[in-house]
Amino acid sequence: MNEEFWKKVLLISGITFTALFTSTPFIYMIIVSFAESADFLGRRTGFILTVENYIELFKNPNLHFLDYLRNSVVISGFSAFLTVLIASVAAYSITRLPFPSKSVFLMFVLGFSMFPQISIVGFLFNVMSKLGLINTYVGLILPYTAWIMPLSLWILVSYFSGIPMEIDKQATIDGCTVWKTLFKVMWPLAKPGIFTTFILAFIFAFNEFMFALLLTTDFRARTVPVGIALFQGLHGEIPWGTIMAASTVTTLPIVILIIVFQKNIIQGLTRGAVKG
Amino acid sequence: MTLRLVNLSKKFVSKSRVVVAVDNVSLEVNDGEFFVLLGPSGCGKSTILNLVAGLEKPSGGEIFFGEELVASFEKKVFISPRERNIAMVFQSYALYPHLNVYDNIAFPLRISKHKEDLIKDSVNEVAKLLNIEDLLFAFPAELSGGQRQRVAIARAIVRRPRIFLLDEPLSNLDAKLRVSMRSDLKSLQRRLGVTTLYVTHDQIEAMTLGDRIAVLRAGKIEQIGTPEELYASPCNTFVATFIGTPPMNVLGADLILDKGLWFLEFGGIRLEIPSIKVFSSNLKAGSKIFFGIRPENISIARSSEKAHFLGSVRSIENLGKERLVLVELGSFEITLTTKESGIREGEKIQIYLDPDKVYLFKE
Repeated sequence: MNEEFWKKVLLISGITFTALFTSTPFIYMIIVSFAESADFLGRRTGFILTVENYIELFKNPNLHFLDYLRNSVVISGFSAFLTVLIASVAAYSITRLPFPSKSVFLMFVLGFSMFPQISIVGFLFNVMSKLGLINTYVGLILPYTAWIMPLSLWILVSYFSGIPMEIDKQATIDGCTVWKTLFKVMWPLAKPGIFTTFILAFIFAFNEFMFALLLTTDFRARTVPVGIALFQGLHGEIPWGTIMAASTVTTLPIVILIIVFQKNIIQGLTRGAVKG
Repeated sequence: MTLRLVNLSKKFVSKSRVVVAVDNVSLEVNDGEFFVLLGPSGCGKSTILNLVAGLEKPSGGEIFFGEELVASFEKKVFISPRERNIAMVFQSYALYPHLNVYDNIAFPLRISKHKEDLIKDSVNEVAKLLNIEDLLFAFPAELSGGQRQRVAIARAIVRRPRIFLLDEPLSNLDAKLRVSMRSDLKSLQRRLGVTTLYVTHDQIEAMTLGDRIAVLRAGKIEQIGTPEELYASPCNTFVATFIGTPPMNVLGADLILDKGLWFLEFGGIRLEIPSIKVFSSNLKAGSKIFFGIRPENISIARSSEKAHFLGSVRSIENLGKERLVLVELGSFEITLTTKESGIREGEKIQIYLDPDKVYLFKE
């Protein structure tokens, strides 16, 4: 047994452990979603395969699962779109226009994003109720956009600063206004970065729990994470099977999204670090 | 279209200091002329180009395109780059990486909302002119440096600009390609007859391309003239050493008038020079001056009576058709070119300076 062999063993066991450790809850979630009874491990009957949980999930109108799903997709989509739009304009001006203390500004932005969400919920709730935005899409889209902005800004700033200034100058000479330069030249060039930002923003908004819990009281704007958490059985018991089925349905698209675009996402996140 | 710069200045103000990039520059480029701005890096030549393009606003002075005032600090006039109808080619070519060659060339026309069939004709025409018809559907990343350069030039000329601005466009090409692109560029400019402002730090490029050249140093014009004028009568030591390869030798000397004859005295050596040189340069006897002599005007003397000095050879560079010899003369060093191949390092040789080819400078 040479050293190479042991290195390989160590590597493979390390990877296996990490993969199992992180994926076990998901695997368990999927298994439970297909089990007739959630505590099948403790029962004599054992595991009985069923799709009843999924049928219940989609068929039972009292659960409002499809409402939640639609709310989540619309809210996350709009938040991501708005974030990318604003952050790309901001990133473009930060990288292109001469203004003092750019790095201080960026640090502040990052600093604000480090604030715990809980520290602003009271204020946020007051503002939103005064504006009558509780239980509305706008009421969630606005705080989400603000909340995801710092990360998006950082990713896009690193992307835009990688585009040479001469391209801007060329566009100006070719007759572009600042806006045309942004939309016709900068956007297409930063497409991978913009795409990554959109996906990340979407995922952040899709997974968000606290604001959604705070700012919604019924199915009109409630998103999936909160919806699932508040699922109740007919007699007040916790319907684990349905919850797990709902979790599976909402997690899978995100997981697929990440697997398909992992290259872009990693590139987008590390670009600034590698290229400096 | 003539281009006129009047007392043009540009200052860059940062926290710690003020940098004067362009200092009171005035010049006039004639209609259809190929005008070169030549100078070392940091002399402000690219800034002048940016000012003409409208990418920078002047901190003083005015720019005229023909009779039209396009920028004036004093009169607060500033026509945006879009409205100036100029074209510019950058050192890095600045092609749009996400567009293919056709779309790159069509870009300025599309921005100014030309009709698509008109665009097609124009793109095909310039593509033919620049021999890039086969590349129209390739992306910039797939092209060689020379091809990218051609595409950049095609994009620049496609909308028939009033003035053509080129910022070191040949610097990124290899030596052989640079020579061929140089002649292509010159003939293209002749054919289009468009007024051209060309920036370079390479004096060979300037000499071969330019109808006239402005030599710049530290934001100021040192001299404007045709390549021949700059070579034959440089106005100071900076221009003298900047124009010509290998560069002119410049040495400090005393100007001596002795029994009606004029001499240069340096390092214990006296060199008699024609008096007409002194009269035309307006220098006084007894003053400390600089004199210059080009390496090709220094020769190795066979008989000692014609020789001026004895020097020892420090190094020899073989340039192929001739040799560049660095000779030590006491405390001075001078370079000369020779076709002789028998010289060795460390050897003592007799040197002859042609007094008719000596340049005299105040500083």
